[in-house]
Amino acid sequence: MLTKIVEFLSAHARALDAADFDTWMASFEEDASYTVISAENLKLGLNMPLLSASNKNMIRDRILSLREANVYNIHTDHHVLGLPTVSQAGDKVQVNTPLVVHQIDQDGVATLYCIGRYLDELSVSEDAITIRKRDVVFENFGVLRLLATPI
Amino acid sequence: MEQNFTAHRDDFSSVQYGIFHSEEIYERERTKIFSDKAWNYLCLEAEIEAPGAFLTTEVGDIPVLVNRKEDGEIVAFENRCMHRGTKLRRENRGNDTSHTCVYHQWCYSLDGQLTSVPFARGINGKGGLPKDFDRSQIRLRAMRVAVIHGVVFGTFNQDNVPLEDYLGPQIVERLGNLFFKPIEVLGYQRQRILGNWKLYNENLRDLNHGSLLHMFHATFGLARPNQVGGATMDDKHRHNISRKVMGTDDKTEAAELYKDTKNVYQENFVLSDPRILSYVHELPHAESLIIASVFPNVIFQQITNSLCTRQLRLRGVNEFELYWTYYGFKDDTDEMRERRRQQANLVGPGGLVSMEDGEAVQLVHEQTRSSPSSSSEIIIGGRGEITDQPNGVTEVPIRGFWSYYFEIMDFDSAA
Repeated sequence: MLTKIVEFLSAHARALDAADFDTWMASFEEDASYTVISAENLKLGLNMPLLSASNKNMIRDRILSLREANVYNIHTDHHVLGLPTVSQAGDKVQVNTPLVVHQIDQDGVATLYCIGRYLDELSVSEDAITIRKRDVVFENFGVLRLLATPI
Repeated sequence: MEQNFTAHRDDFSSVQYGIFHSEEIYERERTKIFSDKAWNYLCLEAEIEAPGAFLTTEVGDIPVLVNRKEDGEIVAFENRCMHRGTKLRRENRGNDTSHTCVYHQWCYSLDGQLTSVPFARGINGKGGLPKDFDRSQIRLRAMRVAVIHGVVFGTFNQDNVPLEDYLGPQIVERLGNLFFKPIEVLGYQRQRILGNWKLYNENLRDLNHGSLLHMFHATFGLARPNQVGGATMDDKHRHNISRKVMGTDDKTEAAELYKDTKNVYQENFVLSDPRILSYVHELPHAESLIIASVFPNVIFQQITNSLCTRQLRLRGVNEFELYWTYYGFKDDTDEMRERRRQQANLVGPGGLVSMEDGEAVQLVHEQTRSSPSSSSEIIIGGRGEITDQPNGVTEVPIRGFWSYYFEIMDFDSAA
C-alpha cells in the first residue's frame, strides 16, 4: 500500500507543478475538504484558514477563480515531497507528508515559497486512491507575496 | 535632510516615484511619522485581556512591547532594554509578572520601571554598578497609549493631540460600529509584500481599483462603482473610509458600465457553491463593505461578514509585512463563526478579492525604481480641492493621503 500511496502523492504533486488543475482536482472526493492553514493559527488553536473549501464544488470555484479572475505573480511551482508517515484505522488511511514548494519566476529564479505538511485522509481501494480530506499546514506562515495556486 | 521632496502639483494629483525608493526618506518617515506625530495602531484590547498579558508589535519598523498591568491599564514601550539595547521581550505573546532581558538579566516591572540588576554591588566592593546609579531613574521608553472601542493606539510624542482628535469623528464613529460589542480574535495571517508601504496606503484609498483589479468584486457585486457608497475623509484627509452597500445596483447597469473592460465583469462566471458570498447584515450601519484606512499603519476592514484589521509593519524601503487580525463577536452563533471562516476566502494573502493588491503594489514598486523623477497621475475623481466622494470612480483619497504625508514630513508641496 505504501508504494501506491507514494506514487499517488507524487503524481498529484506533479499535476500541480504542471498547472494541470483538472487532474489535481480529480483526486478529491465530492465531499472532500481542502484547507490551507498557517502553523501560527494552529498553534494558537485558531481555525482561521488561508484558504478553504468544504467540498469539491468549492475547490472547483477556487480553480475557476484562479483561471478566470485572479491576478497573481507569474510563476511555476515545484513541489518536493518528503517521506510520508502512513497510519490506518479501519478504512481510514491517514498520511502525513512533509513538503516544500519552490516558486520559479519567468527569468528562471527560484524562491523557497512554502515549507509545510500535508495531513491527508485518503480512501484507498484496489484501483484508485482519492482524497477525503487534505489539510495543508503552512509552516513558514509569513506568506511571500500572496497565495494563488493551490499547494 | 536638506533637499525637500517635491510633488509636481500642489493638489497632490502627481507624486514623483522616487518617494517610494529613497532610503533617506525612509529614515525621515521613522523620525517624523512613526516616532513622532502619528498615532499608530498597536493591537486589539481583546488580545491582551488578562493582567500580565503582553504582545510584541511594531510601529513602522520600531519593535514595541504592549502589556496589561495588574491594575488593568494597557501600556506600551519601545521593546528595548535600557542597558545595551537588547530586544527585551522576544516572544510574540505571553503572560508574565515582569520583563527580564536575556542578555544581563535587567528586570523591569509591567509599568516599565527597572526593578533589579544582578551583581549590582559587584564582589567585595569591586565591580558592579557605579555608586551614583539610581535604578528608579531607569524606565523603558514609553509610548502614550489610548484605547478606543477596544482598539489600542500609541504615539511616541507625549504631547500629541488626543487620539479622538487625530482620528476625527468619522473614524471614531466607524470604529464604534465595527467593534460595537465584545470581540474575540479568530486568527492571524501574515503577508510579505515586496513594495514600499506607501504604495499600499495608496491602494487602500484607491476606490477605483477595487471594482477593476478585483474581478471577483465586480462580478459578484461585492463592490461595484454604481453601488451606494463613496469615500469619507477626516478634516486633514489623512484617513479615509471607503463605503459600499451591496445590492443597491443592478446587473444591466453593471454590464453597461463594464463594457470597456477586459475580463472584469463576467456575467457567465458562476460559483458552484456560493456560500462564501452569503452575507448577513449585522453591524449598526447599512454598508456591507467598509475599508477604513487610518494614517499611517492600519486599516479596519468589513467585507460582508469578514472583519479584520490589517497592520503595516515596515521592512525597509522595499518590503512590508501585512499583519491581518481576524475577529468576530463573542456572542457569535456557530453558524456565524462558520460564515466568517468561509469568508476568510475573500481576504488575506490568498483572498479572492485581496491577493491582487500584493501583486499590484509589487508591479508599481519594481517598475518605478528606475524612474524616480517620473511621476504618477492621480486624477480619477478630479483635480483641485480634496473632498469627500459620492461614488467609487475616484482616487481622490490618495491625494488626501499625500497632502497629510507632505505636511507631517515637512515637505513642500509646490513645484
